[in-house]
Formats: sequence, structure tokens, C-alpha cells
Amino acid sequence: MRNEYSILPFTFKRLPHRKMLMVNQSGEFTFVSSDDFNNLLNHDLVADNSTYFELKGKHFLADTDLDIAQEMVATQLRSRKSFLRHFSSLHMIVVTARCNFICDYCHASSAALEQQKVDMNWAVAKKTVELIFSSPSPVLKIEFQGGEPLLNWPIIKEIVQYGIFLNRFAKRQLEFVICTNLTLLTEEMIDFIKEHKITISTSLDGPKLIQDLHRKTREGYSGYDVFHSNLQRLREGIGQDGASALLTITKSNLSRLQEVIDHYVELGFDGVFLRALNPYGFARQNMEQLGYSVEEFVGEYKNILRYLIELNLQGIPFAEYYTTLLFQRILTPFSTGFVDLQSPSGAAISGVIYDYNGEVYPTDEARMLARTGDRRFKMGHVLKNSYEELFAGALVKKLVKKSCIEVLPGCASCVYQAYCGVDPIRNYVETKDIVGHRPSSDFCKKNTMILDHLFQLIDENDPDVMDVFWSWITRRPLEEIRHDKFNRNSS
Amino acid sequence: MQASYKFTNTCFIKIDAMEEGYVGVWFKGKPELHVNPELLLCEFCNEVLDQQVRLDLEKRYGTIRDSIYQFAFAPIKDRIDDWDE
Ligand code: SF4
Repeated sequence: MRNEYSILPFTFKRLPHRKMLMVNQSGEFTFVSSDDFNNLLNHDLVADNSTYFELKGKHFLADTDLDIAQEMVATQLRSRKSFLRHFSSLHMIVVTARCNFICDYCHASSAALEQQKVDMNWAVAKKTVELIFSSPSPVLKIEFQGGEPLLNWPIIKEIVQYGIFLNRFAKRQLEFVICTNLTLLTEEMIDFIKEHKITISTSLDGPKLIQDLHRKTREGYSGYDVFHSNLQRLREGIGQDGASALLTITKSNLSRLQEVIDHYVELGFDGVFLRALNPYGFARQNMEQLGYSVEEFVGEYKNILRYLIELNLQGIPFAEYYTTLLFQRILTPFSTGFVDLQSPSGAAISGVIYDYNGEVYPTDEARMLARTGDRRFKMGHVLKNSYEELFAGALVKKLVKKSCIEVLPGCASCVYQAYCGVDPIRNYVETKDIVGHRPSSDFCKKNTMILDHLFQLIDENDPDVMDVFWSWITRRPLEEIRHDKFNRNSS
Repeated sequence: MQASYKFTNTCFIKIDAMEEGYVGVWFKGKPELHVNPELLLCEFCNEVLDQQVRLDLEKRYGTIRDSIYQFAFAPIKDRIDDWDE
């Protein structure tokens, strides 16, 4: 006799040892044996079985309570997608395309120092800030980018002051970030940064030899030495937490990541984002010299994750942010928008970039394409288009429509759909089609391999390892996590 | 069709209707990729099974998925009305 239950929507993957991974629409997951999986599908699962309760509790099946189960999943899905509610909050402004560096992998493909015509002027800057305040988002993060943004310091100051002025009426949570190589930092800048609580995002690829290898100054001096002393000066001014660093992984530092992490720790950083090199700009031209395969990247990612877990267990708190993001999605019900990995894609609707000349693009990569002559992703111009024309135009609608992971070929049936995301611009760069082609996509391969590894760790359920991950997810000290667990277990 | 999609990176694939109730799928390995035909066939068979499971579930319970999405993205007002009913 068939057992009466309804099966709620889920995706699945076969794992070794006759095990299955199942994930439902709200991102809840479970591991079952393939026998139980078959029993579930054949309606042979009996109600006194622990798998039955697990599947029911996690909303993979419903018996008498289908309506309630549907509502629960819908509510969870709604909160997971709540990053969509407020629309674009990240506004990147390229205040200049000039740079005092000429890095081998720079996808901003910077302009020379004397080319001041690639600086943003006040007319464009003022209109840009007004457009930013047209966004309905309660949080507005304005991120200054370049080139090297400090080369156009006067316009950064004007934008910050005008933004603060407008915010007296708009009352948003207004934040500023400057992405800088730090080498042009002056005392006056440090005072301004401190006064306006601006955070700094800088670049660090490793110790001096590694840092100077691909991050070259136009004038030939060691960028690392200046970076190092300015980082200390900045921290004396704004505190230890005021600056974070971005790591670019090339062939040169991929196999030396342990050394890189040690250097991050030595300089007082408490985390790193392990990003694979993207196929844009100079990096694309120099792939032979800089690039590596997905397999090589993920192999090193696994090694370094092991190393980071060890560090944390030895009492050195240090997180890997991509892993943290994925675990937040896997292990918690909370919303985690992340422009580069969300569905629909964050391009334009979560983050947007204003070029120095007033042109608006959904992502930095779209702006780079325009530099190479392909302007298909230009949303418009701050001086010529209204907020509605820019953000509710045909281009943005198309990007949203074609970047819903739930219906993309390959992704629609992928078990990792609830945790993954879509990058339509990258799809276009790789395949000339914003929908992309998953079977040949390195983006897909990398995420699949990383998520395979993370689920393997979850399945192994080593208490030490999981405690470290929970300390990353909750941003709490490892000791506190263990203390809470001990209290829970003993009560 | 869905099962074949996964292999479009390594093979050229042709799908044709055969006699009633049958379809034929032809694979040709892309040059220089050294596709192992036996392994390919095994993987394809497994993939067909998995896609069939998805298709069956979709046929039987697809409406549940639709109503979950509808409910999740309905304006709050509509949801309160639903609860009140
Ligand atoms: S991109 Fe790849 S890993 Fe991500 S959901 Fe799509 S098929 Fe899955």
C-alpha cells in the first residue's frame, strides 16, 4: 500500500557510498541513503521511520499538513530572498581611471598619471550622488574605485560631503569605502577618513616579493614598502579594523597561499577572500602568465581551508570569507545577498558602477567590456537619463529575467541552486550569451567543486571543524561557540 | 534533452525522433577530448534516470512548487488576506 504523503520540491545529487544529498527550495538539506531515497519516491517510506520524520521536519514531504508546509517553505524562501527587497545598495564610483600602478592582472586597465581627462568632474559627481539617493535602499554604500581613487581626492571629498548633506533629509544608513593601494595616502586624507568613518579596502597579494611581482608601480619603486608603512599610519589614525585587504590569486601565489595567509596574520588582518582570477581586462590577455585551472585553484583552496582550520584551533582567529558566505547560506536561514553570487544576479539591482565620464554599468566587468569597445551593457548616463530610465530600462529587466538560477539550463536541476548565483556578464564574456553554458563554465565547475567539498565536511561532522565554521558564520570567538555548545549539551 | 545537455561540453549531440515512443541520441566526441565511450554511456544512462525522476516529480508535484513561489513573492497584503480566509 502506498503511504499517503506529498513530496515537496527538492533537488538532489548522488554521492559516493549510496548516499544522496537533497536540498529543498528554501535551502534546507539532508543526507539520505539511496534506499530511503527510492522509498520516498515510491511512497514506501513509513511514518514510524526516523528518515520520515527528518524529511517531514525539513519540509521534503508533508502528510496531513501540506498547506502549512508550503507556507513554511514559502516564508523561508521569502526571507532568503529578502536582499531583493531594497534594490541597489552598493554604488561604486570610478572617480578616475588613472593609476600610479600598472598591475599585470588589473582588469580596470588603468590610464597613465598625466591623463587627467579620465578624472570624474563635479557635474558628473553631483548628479551621481543625487541618483544614488533616488535608490529606495535604506542602506547606501558608496565605494570609491579607480584606477587609484586617491588621485582624484578633491572629488572624493566633495562626494562624501554632498552625500552627508543629502542624507540629513534622506536618513539612510550611509557608508563610504575607498578601494586604494594606499601608496598616495597623506595625513590630511587620514584625518578626513577618520572624521567621516570611511572604511578602506586595499590589496595585498602576500609578502613583499609576491606583492611587488605583479603589482608594479609606474615609477618602478617597491609598492609594498610604501603600502606597508602607510597601512601602519592609517591604522594609527582609524584603528585596526578600519582597513581590509583583497587578495588576487595568480599562478605566482596560488601554491604559496600558506605564506600569504601567514603574512595577512602578521599584518593583523583577520580574514581573507580567496578569489580566483576573473577572465577580464589585462588578466585575460595575461592568462598564460597568471592563470591556472579550476582544479588547481580548488586543490589549493582545500589545502588552505585545512590550514585555516588549524590556525583557528590554535587560537588564531582568521576566516575565509567565501566559505563563510556559502556556509551562511547552507547552515542558516538568513538572507545573504552577494553581488557576484546571487539569483537573480546582483548586476544593477544590488550593485551598480558609475564610470568617471558618467556612464552607468551593472558591474565593473560590464564597464571593462565597454572599454574594449563592446557597450551592450551600458545602462545609460547620469547626465542624460533619469533614475527610472537607468534602473527600470530594458537592459536591467533583461539581466534580471535571464539570471534567475531556478530556470537556467543546468542550474534548474542542480542540487546547489539554493546556494549558488548567476553572473550574466561573465556568461557573456565566456560564451557571447548572457544565459551561458554550464557544462563548459569554469564558474560553475569551481562552485560545484567547492560546494562538494563543503558538503563533504558537513557530512563528516568533525566537531572541531564545525565549531570553526560556526565561529566564522556568527563572527564570534571560537571559545564562545564551544562554551555555548557545552552549556547546551549539559542542560 | 536535459540529460544530454550535461554532455554538450565534451560531445556533439544529435537527438532524433525514432519510431513511436523512442528517441535516438547520437554522441560524437569533440576532437582532442579523448572521450571514453563506455564511461560516457554509463554516465548518460544515470543522468537519464535522474532527469526522469525530476520530470516525474515535476508532473506530480510541480503545482506545489508554483504555489510556494507565488506565496513567497506575493505582496504582504495578499498574504494577510490569504491567512484571513
Ligand atoms: S552555476 Fe553550476 S553549481 Fe551553480 S547552480 Fe548552476 S549548475 Fe549548480
